[in-house]
Amino acid sequence: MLTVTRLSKTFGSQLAVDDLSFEVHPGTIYGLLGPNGAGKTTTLKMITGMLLPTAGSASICGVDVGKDPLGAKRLLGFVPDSGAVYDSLTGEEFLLLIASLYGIAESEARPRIRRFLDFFELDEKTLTGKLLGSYSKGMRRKVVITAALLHNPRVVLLDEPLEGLDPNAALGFKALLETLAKEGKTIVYSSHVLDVVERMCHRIGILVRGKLAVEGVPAELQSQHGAATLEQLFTRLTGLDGVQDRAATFARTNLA
Amino acid sequence: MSGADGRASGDRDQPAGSASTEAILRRLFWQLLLRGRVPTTGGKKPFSFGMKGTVALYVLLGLFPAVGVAVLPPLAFATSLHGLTLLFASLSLATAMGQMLFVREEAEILLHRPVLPQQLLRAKVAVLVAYALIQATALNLIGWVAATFVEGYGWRWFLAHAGSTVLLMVGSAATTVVVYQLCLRWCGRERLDNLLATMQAVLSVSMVLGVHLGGRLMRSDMMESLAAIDGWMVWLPPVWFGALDAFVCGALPFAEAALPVGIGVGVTVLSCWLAFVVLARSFDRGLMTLHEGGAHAGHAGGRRWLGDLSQSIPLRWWLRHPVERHAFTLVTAYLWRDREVKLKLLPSLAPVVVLPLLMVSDRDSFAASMWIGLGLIYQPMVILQALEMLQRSEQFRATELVRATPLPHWLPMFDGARKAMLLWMVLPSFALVLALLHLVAGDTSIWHLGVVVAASLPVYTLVPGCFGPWLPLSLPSQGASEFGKGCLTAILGVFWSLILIGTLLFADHLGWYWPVAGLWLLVLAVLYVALRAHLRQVPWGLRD
Repeated sequence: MLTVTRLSKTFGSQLAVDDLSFEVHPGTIYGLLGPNGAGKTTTLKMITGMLLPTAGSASICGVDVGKDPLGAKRLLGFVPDSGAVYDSLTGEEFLLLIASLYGIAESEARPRIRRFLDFFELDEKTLTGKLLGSYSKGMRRKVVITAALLHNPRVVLLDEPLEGLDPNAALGFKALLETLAKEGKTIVYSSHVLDVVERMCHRIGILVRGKLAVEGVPAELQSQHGAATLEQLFTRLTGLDGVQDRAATFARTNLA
Repeated sequence: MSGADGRASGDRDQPAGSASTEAILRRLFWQLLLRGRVPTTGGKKPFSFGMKGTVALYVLLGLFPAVGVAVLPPLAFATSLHGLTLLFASLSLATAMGQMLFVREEAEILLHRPVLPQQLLRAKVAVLVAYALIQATALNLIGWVAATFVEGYGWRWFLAHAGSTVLLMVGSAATTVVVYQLCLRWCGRERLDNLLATMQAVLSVSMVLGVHLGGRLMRSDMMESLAAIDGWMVWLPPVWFGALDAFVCGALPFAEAALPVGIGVGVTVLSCWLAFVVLARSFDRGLMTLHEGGAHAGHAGGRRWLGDLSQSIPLRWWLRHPVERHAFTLVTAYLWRDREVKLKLLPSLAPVVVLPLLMVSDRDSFAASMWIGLGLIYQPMVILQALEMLQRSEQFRATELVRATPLPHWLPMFDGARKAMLLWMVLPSFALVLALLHLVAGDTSIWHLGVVVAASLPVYTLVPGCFGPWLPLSLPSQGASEFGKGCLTAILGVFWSLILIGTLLFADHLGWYWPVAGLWLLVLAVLYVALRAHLRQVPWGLRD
């Protein structure tokens, strides 16, 4: 279970996250939405202990991230949007390194890596023979996702996890997340791809300028706000109404 | 999917028999240090000496101070070895630490894992100190072993010098960590970048000055005992550890050795306590601060000058090709704003600017003009090193965008970059050297020589492009192996400069300065035209 209580973050005079509170229960996939700069990534980084909050707290399965960061970090898996890895390690070296940081012995880690390898249809030769710097974006993303799930975390935080994945891999990964949720994992899914969020997430929260504008079950939120789709709800809340007209005008005047 | 254990594996502690987190991290940082960064293009790795080559080069470099064992007393000899170690190994350590301690991407890889900040810091420092110790051992090897067999040194020297070298490197590492941590604490990320670069530049300059002054002092009275030297010398780290060596091998009485050895050990212990105990607890704050810097855009105020500058009339004329103009803007932006570029460039180039002054300060023994000439031979080194460093960046992947454009040739990108380098680094540092030489030497002949050397600068800037398409910030950092290539190009550049300045000085001695200078100017002009013609023939993709 993930609990976020009155979390705030300021960068200088800029308020990035403003008094944010929400809870995600086990077995739930929670979609964190918002336009660029709304504070989604900052929120996730505070939950993972990568950024210090200016105020408030977050806890993972009852373990306060600020008070017991190591305990909390052992319980969570995080896929950052940057997909950062050590370029001069091979995929296998990187995954073995990550496994060892969670205390998973190599003898145990190898078969786990093998299972992820099979699931993502990653070529073993590539994983063991090539440095991560030479991987395609999709392959790097698969390695980063594997690194987040390898230690079997209770809470999984995903920041744009599908970026770079081919449709087959994306489909498989979405199915995997749904299965993980059914097994009782707590999943927070931050993305701009609204139709994926609409189909996968049990609950959503839409951030606007660091504040939680709405939170609830997608269908209920849509009916409450009289929106036909999640996309409509999103554009209405984030002030991007009439985007199709604007695009048409722009194309006619600049690209015709 | 794993999960057969049915519980969160993350809950449990490290299993018995498995490597500790610190050991795992040490292994990781060794791999990263030795491998450097790799290009994503899958092309050939650029030429580099690698670790073995660098060590071999250091062993050769160690030959020079080793000669001193025959003529210097133990205190002076040990101090000269420690001075050399401080100059090369400590400087290399300080630079590597600037790059390795606070890596922005690392927060995304490690900060959300169960790793303590102290473990992260200790692992990094352990690897860097070990790497610096390898360099220090290579530098000291010949002198260290040779002295063991010389009367007055013996096996006690062997052990003492090993111990004192370890102390010197650990102390250097701890001091660097303390300075970086305090900078980050007090100044925040934006100012930290500038402060780190300035601090490293000051550090490298003071190391050069310290070693040089130490060397001069040794020549004057051979440093038979500490009583014979000025009191302030006792505050120099090479003297602390030189005194320790001399005391252990019986060449320095306890009464004389107590103060410098006490200071050396005291400073080392204090800096270690501050770095690895007090400040290590908050190492993650430093990484977070870096991360925060990345998370929110810096203020845009005061950054419009760059756009205005590149649109100004003289620069629009100088940078006529639009791509050249934008490459100039790109490189200027990185020179002024990018932490990685500043951290690499300033500390490496600062000593080269100071070196000529040291030569002039020694001019009593030779003709002043000779020393002034020698003072100027380092100019190619400034340019070649700067351009080599400017080609490497953590953001090297961004160059893929340039390669994807229908740009017919890479030359405008190269020209824009080298002109930015000329304007912001090479010409100011050259003018500074000339002005300082004039002030110190009080000799107007410096300006005659300066004309020809200044004319040679644009020619040097063309050299890096001769080996293949040169794009700014297009190659990954090469970590430990960078030193070798930089050293080789610098040696070749200095050799060429030596010929140029040597012939000019000789002509001056014979009273034919201006005819020979005119001839050189002609040669340089022809060389410039020929090199440009050659560069136009170097196609895209040669390096890929």
